[in-house]
Amino acid sequence: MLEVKSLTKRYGQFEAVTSVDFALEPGEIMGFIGSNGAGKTTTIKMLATLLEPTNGSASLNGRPLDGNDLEIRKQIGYMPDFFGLYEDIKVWEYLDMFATLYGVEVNDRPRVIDEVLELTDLGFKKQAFARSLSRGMQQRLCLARCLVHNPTMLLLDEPASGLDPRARAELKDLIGELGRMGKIVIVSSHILPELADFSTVVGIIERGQMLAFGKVNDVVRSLTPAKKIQVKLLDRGAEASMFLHSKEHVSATQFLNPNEFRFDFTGTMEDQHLLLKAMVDAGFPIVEFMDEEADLEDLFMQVTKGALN
Amino acid sequence: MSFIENIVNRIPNKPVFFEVRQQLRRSSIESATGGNSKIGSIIGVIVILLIVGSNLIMAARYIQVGYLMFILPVLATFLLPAMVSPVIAGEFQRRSLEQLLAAPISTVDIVKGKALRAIIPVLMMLTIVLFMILLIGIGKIFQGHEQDFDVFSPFISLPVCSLLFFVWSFFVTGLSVFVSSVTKSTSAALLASIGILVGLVFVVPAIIVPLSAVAIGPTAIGYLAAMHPAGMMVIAVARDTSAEPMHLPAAVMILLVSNCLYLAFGAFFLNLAARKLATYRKTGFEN
Repeated sequence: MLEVKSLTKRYGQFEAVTSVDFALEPGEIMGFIGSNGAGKTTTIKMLATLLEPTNGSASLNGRPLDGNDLEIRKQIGYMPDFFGLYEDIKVWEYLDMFATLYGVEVNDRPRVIDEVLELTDLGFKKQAFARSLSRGMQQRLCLARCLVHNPTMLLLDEPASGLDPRARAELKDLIGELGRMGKIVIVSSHILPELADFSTVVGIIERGQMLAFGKVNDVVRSLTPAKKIQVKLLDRGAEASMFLHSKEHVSATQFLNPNEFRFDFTGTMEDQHLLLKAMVDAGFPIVEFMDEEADLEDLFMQVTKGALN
Repeated sequence: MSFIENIVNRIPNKPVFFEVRQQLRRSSIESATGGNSKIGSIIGVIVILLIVGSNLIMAARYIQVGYLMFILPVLATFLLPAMVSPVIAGEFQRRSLEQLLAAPISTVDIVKGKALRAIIPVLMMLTIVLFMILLIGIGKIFQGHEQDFDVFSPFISLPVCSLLFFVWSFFVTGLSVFVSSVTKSTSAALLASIGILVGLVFVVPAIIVPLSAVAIGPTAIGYLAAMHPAGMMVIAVARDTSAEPMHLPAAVMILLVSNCLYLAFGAFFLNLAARKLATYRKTGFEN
């Protein structure tokens, strides 16, 4: 389990990260969201023991994440946002070098290298020079490097930056698989749709402060008390809108076209059922009546609106 | 399994040897030629060996064998920085240092691992010079000058000269690794390392210890010259050519002290480099 308590990083007068708290269980994938310069990378570097916190602490399975404790690093796989590969090195040699550095037994190395290459779908490039790989393959190789010592926690800083849509989709699948393997995964990004698919937990950071943290649905619910419902009719759109406004829990109607609109609804599921029944009983020709899921992008915009002003 | 991979597998399984393993793999002809023209490369090496070797054998009678050993400090001064100075600056440049600093290895071991990279070129230089001496010895024997082939005489002894070469190489390596840790581009690291070393080995002696001074006998300047990386040669030349021979125990003592200083400064520079990396690890750095 990863526990982060009051983690703070100050550079002179500037506070890059302010008292961040959160905890993650094995198998949880945290989408770490924030705009550029929000404090994501600084937080991740502190968790990777590459930056000493000014205040606060973090521990992994009860062991402090301390830069002087070299053993704890064997439980961490860190993928920086910008990384370089050695030019004159083959894919398997690159992994072998890091396996050596992480103390993987010499007899286990060939098997481990084959396994991580298979997991990252790079087995066919084992003998290729790292410099010859495409950007997406290099990202996957870096991820394979993070996995070579079978870490408990993975810290992936902007892993999908610069990738084409196909490579992004492959990376998403891979990260989901890592979560299913029971690893704690923190994935930072400012591109929200790519996080939405596989994150079980979301943390929103802005100007160094964690503005929201929790399971995606819980955060959505806590931050958006009014759900949006979209209605599509064959006709009588304006009349239906006026009808709804006469009902409880309904507000803020917004027309998408004359016979299609969405509105905010603050009632329960029971209330929603009664509302739909009332519309049907009133004879409105309803074609669609559905909840609109609040996505991470909406959530992020809503949460950070105050912080950015 | 290839011949090189067999050697790599014999290296102790310690993280500190991470760089040497890669260096060895890159030393194979196949890697050096990017996987192409392996046979062509082997033929090229054989041709060069034949040309150089036959010339050495033919000219053997004119070559003072022992003095050939003094090429080594000069080679180390120019070639080692080229091999060693990119080790940390190169990590900066290609943005790979952070991956290394995140690994469970102390900064002292990272620096040791990087410094160990120098072992292969040092051994290669020594092997080449010893091979040349062997060829000259063969030439001398065939030409009936075997009495000139005394590689164990006290002042041009091969074992002692090899030892002094290792000491100087250690100093050069330490300095180059340190310079590499405080610069962020390989070209800057190379220029700075070679600049400092050329200053130490050639420019400073040219100003304060003119080599001609050794010929004028046991002056203070003559004794100072024993501090030079090629100090052994200085003593030997002064002993053979000066009308008034140097006081040898004093000259040898200066040589020993100066070489101890080279060792100490080499270790000091490596330590400084490790501290620099420890600072990066603690406070971060801009790529």
